[in-house]
Amino acid sequence: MNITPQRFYLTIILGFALCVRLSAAPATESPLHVVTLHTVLTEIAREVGGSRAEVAGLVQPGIDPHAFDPSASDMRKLVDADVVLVSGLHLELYLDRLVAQRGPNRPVVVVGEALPSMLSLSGAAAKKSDKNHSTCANEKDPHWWHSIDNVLFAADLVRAEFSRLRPAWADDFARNAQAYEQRLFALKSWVALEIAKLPPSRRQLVTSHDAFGHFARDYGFTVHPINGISTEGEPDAKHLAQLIDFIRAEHIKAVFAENDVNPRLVSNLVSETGVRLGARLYSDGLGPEGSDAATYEAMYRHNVSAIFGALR
Amino acid sequence: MSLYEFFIAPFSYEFMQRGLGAAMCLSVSGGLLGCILVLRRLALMGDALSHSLLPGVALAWLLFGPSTTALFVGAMLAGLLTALGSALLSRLTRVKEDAAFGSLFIVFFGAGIALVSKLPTRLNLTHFLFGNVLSVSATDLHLTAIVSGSTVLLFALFYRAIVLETFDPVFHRAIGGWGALIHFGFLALTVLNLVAGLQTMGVVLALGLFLLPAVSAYLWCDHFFRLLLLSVGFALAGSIAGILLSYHAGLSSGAAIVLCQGGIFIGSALFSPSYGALKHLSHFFHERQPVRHSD
Repeated sequence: MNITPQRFYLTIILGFALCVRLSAAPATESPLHVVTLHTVLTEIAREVGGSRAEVAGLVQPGIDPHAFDPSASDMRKLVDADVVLVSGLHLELYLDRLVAQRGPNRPVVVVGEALPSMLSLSGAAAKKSDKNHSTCANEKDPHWWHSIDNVLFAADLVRAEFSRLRPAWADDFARNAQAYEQRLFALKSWVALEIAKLPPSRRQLVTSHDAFGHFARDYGFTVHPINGISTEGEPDAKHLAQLIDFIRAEHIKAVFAENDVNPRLVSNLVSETGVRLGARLYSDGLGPEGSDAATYEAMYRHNVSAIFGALR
Repeated sequence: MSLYEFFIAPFSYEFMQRGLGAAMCLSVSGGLLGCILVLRRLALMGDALSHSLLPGVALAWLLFGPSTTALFVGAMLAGLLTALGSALLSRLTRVKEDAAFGSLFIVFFGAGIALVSKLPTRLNLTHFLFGNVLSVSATDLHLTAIVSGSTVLLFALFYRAIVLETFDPVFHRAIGGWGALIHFGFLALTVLNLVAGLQTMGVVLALGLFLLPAVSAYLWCDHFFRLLLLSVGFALAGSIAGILLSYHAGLSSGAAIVLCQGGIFIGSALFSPSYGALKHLSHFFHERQPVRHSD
């Protein structure tokens, strides 16, 4: 059959017609589709949402959120979701793109930016007077989940957002949120008791990157990171030399590695100073299923036990 | 800052000592290899070869984690496959060697990037591309020393064949030499040294350590053996200066070394008494002047 111009155009028009999807009006009783970009936010969403929310966490446990870049299928899920929960504070470098893709009427809940100012924090490096890091003085620490107060605030924020979109289930969300918050209060008391056993002079935390600022502020620690706020940076030689001198001078008992892409840095530090390597800390999110840090509480207990055990 | 603080104090730390050791080993073998690269016009191929190592490293990381020997073997296999593949392609198809090499290395590099994005724990690409002297472990240093030593040894053993193949390959073949063996052996050694330079310099800049001292020396020397010696000398000087610069100025080590080598190169290109640009320009102007007769 030969291709005449009429047949050609007809085929094109039919093709376009087939592509047009007739979208049904969204039912207000369908479950909430939630997409999150951090493992802690995934847990908060699941706890508060319960059976009323379908939560997809795009950043899986074990993946570094500093380095995560959403793929095409991830972006599709992000655009189609009812609610998107992100950390903000420059943890997600692609946030502008994401907000632009979702458009003006479908907001993205940026938990980190919504925290009240007394709960947010500048990076440890920015406070050093010599400023060998390239972080500017205003760079905020994006690891907001290391303070239990922040997680409590976030849980309430998520509850409010869910209730706004599904007002019929506001009571369910409130009940779930309250149960979760009770568990977090219990965790908080346990941590305070544990840390109180460690004398203030021993509260020096040497870690791979500057992730524990919020934790340090809450419990009176000082953080001495090898890298800066992001895992993507490279430490410079002089900073590492000063850290080695500091560890020797203060007789620091242990340093802590994280889920490192460059474990050599910490092992070099350990071999040169003779300091002990503490248990691995979970700095950028929860651990995988089956590990001892699969939930927020488990992760927090693991970190505190590791820190306390090594520095005691 | 006193002289001691500037030159000696940084090396009181073990990690700096190891970084310097690795850079110096690479300078010696790289200086030698660079001369051959320059004389045989293989400089850009060396650059392409360095990019083709990425999928090997990514695959090794995926299968074996951050094990130095695994990364070494993986990168080597990737580099050798590229060299071998392009040679085969140019012999079996219409494609010439330079196009074959250019196409193959970019495919490998793309495959490497795709693999890296799928890795469970992210390989820090910046670290791979630009190096970090701070993370040279003892194993890295041993491997680098072995590679460097082997390179020098092989150079010494096959010195005559290398000279012949570089300057008169037809004669070399006529007297029964194996040109192809020298060529591939040389490529394999280049890949080995590039891989050894992964930690200190990063893969993109490691080639700089080979090429720049050789090109600088080329601007001063006419004699092959003196070329080799001067190239190694420049490489050593540039590496030491670069590592010190990276310490005091807080720069990436690979970049600092390349900058220092680059300074030597630009200086040589401008001021070399026999082959530099200024000399060339002064000849040019001198000849333009009217001939002065003594009448």
